[in-house]
Amino acid sequence: MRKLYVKLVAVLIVTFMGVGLMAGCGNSAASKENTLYIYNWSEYIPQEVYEMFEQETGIHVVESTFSSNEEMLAKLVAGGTGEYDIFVASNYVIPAMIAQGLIKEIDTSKIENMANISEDNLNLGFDKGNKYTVPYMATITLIVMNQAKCAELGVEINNLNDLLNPALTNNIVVPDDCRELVDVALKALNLDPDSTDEAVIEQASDWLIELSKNVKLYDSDTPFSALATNEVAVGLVYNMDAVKAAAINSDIVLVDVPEGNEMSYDSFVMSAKTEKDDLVYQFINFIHRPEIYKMCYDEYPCVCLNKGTMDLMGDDYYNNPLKNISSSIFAKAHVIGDVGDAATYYDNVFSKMKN
Amino acid sequence: MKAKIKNSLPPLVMIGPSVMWLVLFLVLPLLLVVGISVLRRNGYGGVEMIPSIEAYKSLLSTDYLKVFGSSFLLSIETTVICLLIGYPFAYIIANSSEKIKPFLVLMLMLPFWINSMIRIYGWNTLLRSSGIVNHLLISLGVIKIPIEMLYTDGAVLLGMVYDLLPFTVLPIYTSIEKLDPSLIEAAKDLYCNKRHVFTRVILPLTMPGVFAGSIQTFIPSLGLFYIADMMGGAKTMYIGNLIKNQFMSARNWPLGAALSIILIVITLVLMRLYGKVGSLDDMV
Repeated sequence: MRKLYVKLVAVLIVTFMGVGLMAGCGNSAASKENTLYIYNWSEYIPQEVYEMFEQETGIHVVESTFSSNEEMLAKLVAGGTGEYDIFVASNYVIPAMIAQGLIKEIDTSKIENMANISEDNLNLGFDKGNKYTVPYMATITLIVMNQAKCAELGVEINNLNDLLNPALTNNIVVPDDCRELVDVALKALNLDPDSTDEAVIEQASDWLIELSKNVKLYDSDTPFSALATNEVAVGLVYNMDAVKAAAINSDIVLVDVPEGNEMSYDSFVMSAKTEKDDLVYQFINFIHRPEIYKMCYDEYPCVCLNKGTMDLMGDDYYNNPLKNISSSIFAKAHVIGDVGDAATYYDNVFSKMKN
Repeated sequence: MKAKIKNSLPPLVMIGPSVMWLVLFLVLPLLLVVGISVLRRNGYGGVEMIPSIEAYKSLLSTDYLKVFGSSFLLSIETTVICLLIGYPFAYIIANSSEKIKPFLVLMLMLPFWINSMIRIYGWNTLLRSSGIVNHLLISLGVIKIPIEMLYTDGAVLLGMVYDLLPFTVLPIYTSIEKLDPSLIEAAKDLYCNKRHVFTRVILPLTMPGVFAGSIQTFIPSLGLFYIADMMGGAKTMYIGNLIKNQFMSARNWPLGAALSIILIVITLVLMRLYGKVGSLDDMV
């Protein structure tokens, strides 16, 4: 009797699991036509924006996320292109994506709100004429300092070489990212930050080893917390983290360096395998509506590229030099370029820095 | 013929699924890693179908040897500290009364219910300059300026020991449990003093547990890179970070695969060594 009971339960469980599985398939098959699959950086577009888009157009958006361009590229190269309709990619992987046929041309005439994007952010070197890309936001790596702590240490920062000041020992937070750091060293030494020459890149090594003595932590994820809690005196951080840190700790201020900052553009690109071009256009158009773009910006304050949104900004934007970054800083910023195989040399220098 | 099928069916049904599982999720991925390590990289991340031993050649660079060196040093330190704390710990649990023993073992297992990364983040909040520990010490008047605790080598070691201690304690605990009490009685009958009972009877008989515990601590500690990142501020590069970087920023999959294989080989050699001194049954 007991055995029969156990068998019955087992059969029931298996049946339920089977039904569940089929239900899952059925659902997605029915609405697949009307679903947009986006592959995006984590924490870049707020969930409520997707919900508003669905309410208005009836198009459901499914978001998958990545935490580095390389992670995304690896997945797409391995055959993931067909799983998504739209990706968000940084400028330096765009040439590789075009070369490998992962993305297709975008008909920008179908995206009216392209007109909202300010001209200086269109027609950039990585995609002349915006054949493949529609910019979303940009990120700039800023140097910020804790005024009170720096005064205490007797440190002044006027250029990149000041970061090597021995008084700053164990007092800097930098990104855990080889390109960002090696580029800073190359610029401080007046060398080409997109060099593919091993001998040139090697020269950055000594500068970085010197810098490593001052680095308290390498953090690309939540560096604002080390700044906000007075753990470090100086930070080389993405502008979003700079904004967050300064919002918590009023001692945090921007430092303008003559060598210029590192910058990268994130753009919407369309999967080569998608057939839902119209949905993709609708979505990009929706995002670049000034009030929608503002929702994204308020949640993730990177660099705003939408003119219409700028008009909607209040004093908290215009009076904050970390948000309303001056045009002189943008003018001298270096947009990180692709270095292909030479990535290994950058990584070698970075490994040496940490040993 | 029919009898043959009838005889082979039960083992096939019983073992088949697990063999399939192992082939799909262990053997095939491993072969993939071996395969990638002997191919040539392309500039975009990924590999070209051209055989090359470039990756293994570049392994000999002194920079990579240094990374291996610092990883081993940290793992050895972690294992030794875990043993020094873990042995008395296991001994106390094994010799406590039957009533509280299950409770103590449960307490040992309890941290596993929470993701290890979250627990490490907890340490992060405790140890930072403006953290709870410094706050407490300052308000008690013990110190005036905060002690730098987080983002130091000591913090990394603390995180490692904290995370891996249960893996050291459990095998030692089992081997002390298995110890026949009559042997200790016999030693005492033969006028052995307490110290000698420990050094000549208990310790040699629990050596398999000590070995098992150290191996179970040492091997995972080689790969735990996120503790060094979160507690040490990612200041030193360990094998785990190096492998991760090859697949991500350096876009050099073959080298990453070759490094993983070296790590696997080292692990196998250690298991082999262990197989010589103790039996694999003591691992649990």
